[in-house]
Amino acid sequence: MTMSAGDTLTQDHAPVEDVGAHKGIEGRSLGQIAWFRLKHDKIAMLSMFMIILILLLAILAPLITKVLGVDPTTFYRAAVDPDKGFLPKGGPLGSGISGDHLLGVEPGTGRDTLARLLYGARISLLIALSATVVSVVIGTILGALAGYLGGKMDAFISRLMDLLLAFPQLILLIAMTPVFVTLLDQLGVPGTPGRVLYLIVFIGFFGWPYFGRIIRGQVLSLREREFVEAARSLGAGTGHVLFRQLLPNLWASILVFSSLIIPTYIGTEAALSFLGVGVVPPTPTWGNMLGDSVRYARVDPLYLFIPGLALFTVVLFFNLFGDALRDVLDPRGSR
Amino acid sequence: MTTPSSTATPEAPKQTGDPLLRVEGLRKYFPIKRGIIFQKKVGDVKAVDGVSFTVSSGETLGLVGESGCGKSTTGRLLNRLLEPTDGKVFFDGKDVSHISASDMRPLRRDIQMIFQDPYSSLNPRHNIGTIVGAPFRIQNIKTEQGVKRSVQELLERVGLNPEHYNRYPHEFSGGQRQRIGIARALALRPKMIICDEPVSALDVSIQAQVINLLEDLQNEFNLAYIFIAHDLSVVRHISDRVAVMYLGKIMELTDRDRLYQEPVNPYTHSLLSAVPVPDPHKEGRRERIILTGDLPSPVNPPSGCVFRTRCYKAQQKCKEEMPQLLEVAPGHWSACHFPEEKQLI
Repeated sequence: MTMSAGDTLTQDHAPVEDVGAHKGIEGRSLGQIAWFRLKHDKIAMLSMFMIILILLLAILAPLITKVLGVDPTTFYRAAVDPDKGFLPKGGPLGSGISGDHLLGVEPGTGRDTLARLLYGARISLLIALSATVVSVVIGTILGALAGYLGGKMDAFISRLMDLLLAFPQLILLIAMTPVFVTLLDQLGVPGTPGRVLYLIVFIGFFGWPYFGRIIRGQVLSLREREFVEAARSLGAGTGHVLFRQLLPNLWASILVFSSLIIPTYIGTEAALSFLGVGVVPPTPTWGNMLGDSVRYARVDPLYLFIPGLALFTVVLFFNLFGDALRDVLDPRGSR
Repeated sequence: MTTPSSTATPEAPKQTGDPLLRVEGLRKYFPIKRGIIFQKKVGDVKAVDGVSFTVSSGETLGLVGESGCGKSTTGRLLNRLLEPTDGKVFFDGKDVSHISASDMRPLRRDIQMIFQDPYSSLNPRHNIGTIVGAPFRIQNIKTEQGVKRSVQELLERVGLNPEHYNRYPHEFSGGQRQRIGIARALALRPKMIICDEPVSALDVSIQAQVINLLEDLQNEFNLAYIFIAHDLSVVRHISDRVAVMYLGKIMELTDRDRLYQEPVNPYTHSLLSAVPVPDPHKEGRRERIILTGDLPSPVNPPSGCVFRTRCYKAQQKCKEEMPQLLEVAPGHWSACHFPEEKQLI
């Protein structure tokens, strides 16, 4: 950086014949610079590694469980004790942890906790990531339109955002779940996939105003920059200005806020499943595991602790990564 | 208040030959709105209020005046970044004042613009190749040697290293960035370039380089410049003719030498008397006109002559009657009831 800056400064005073003397100096895009800075940030690299690890564990869940010889839906009757109300046999703190069941079994049914945790991660992450995509796409398009076009369009979109943010979405979600799940069932999307789809659309749709406001604010300041006028004076239309001129300047915000929204949505999904309006057993998610484990908190505390720790870890590392990304991509940041 | 009075439209100063650009009674009023849902117009900011001038091809017209006098708005009206409230802009004989964006598109090849702030006029996420190549892409023009080769030729022409094609704006200094902006404006071989304070953000040493580059390019491509600036010495250096603006109106318009040596408008007198003179003896002897008061609001400009509230010669007539832009000598136009020749520099 410093080398090329000094080099370009001298260029202005350089005689004409010097032009071409600096061959072979490759321009570095802001993305390359950001990656370079990210690589030197230990927390960013650790959280990125952890996120990738968790994603891999979720993706490879069928393979891992196969290797371990467990299954998320099988009732391992041998691992629970029918005389003690089907609590897990043995293991520290009555968790049933053993060589066969590395993280113990579910009290009552005897389903393997590790298998359910891995399969639960698939559902939880699928919902959180997809809902983030829904929010980001709607939020970016509507936020950018509101910010750039202004006037009536801005007033309309901004009031819509206010309306959605003020909406009692949790109550609506609880009330509407049976209706929509039945409706989706009739449309040929059965039970669990229907509930997953419903959660993605619902969380994503009610989440976009938060994102849209950030994008609108960014576009409001960007559209006053002269490069927008320059593009317009060359004959560029609204589409060109929005997608070619403004969007490249929004990527940093989009990335940062996406990585901060993902953990929120993981938490939202867990909360909804915990309340019983999300995905329901036998399909495991971290939320319904937590909801189930509360009943056994005194006799089998590890069963509550394990999915809780998983949730905590994922949310923590996504947040840390989002913060690091903001530091790296925002040139006015503290660094 | 909303209907511009017809008496305020001065006749466009005539010139021999067909001018490239002819502006007649150009006005831009920005409405001031109150209310959240039911917006009511409560007034207008009269940014440009009845401006007329012509520019021939290959000529440089300087546009000077203090901040907020409507210079930049005038520039943006000429290339239709803004739509005029009233008045006409003829470019190459064609009325462009109200034509649609799609009709304006082909004309944009002939009217280009150079911006004031070299740090915000280049998209920080685009490399130089993309920025200077944008005119070709937006206008959908295929060049013989391909866009990359054309861009490199342009970069070379404005004194930049064509090898820097892949570099990003943050890797360049202010002067170099302004050269990139010039290369972009030059890409489509325009007939006219609107320079909106192109050097006011640069160091003095770099200013001279950029001004010289603009002059070279003018000679090479027979460009017409509208040169908007508030630096009187820069305008004197580059302009053929100069228009002095105050509160949305042209106060005086004439040849460069005449304006600086024999100005007749009291506003021009006060502007020129504010320019420091390097010779301390001359500086001590010369008369300084110090304006009192603030620039009046363009929302509610003074009646009659807009300059009367600060003018040292103001009389009752100035309050009652708006002075017209009249030809006081051949090619010398001034809007004042009491013109007087004065030597100030």
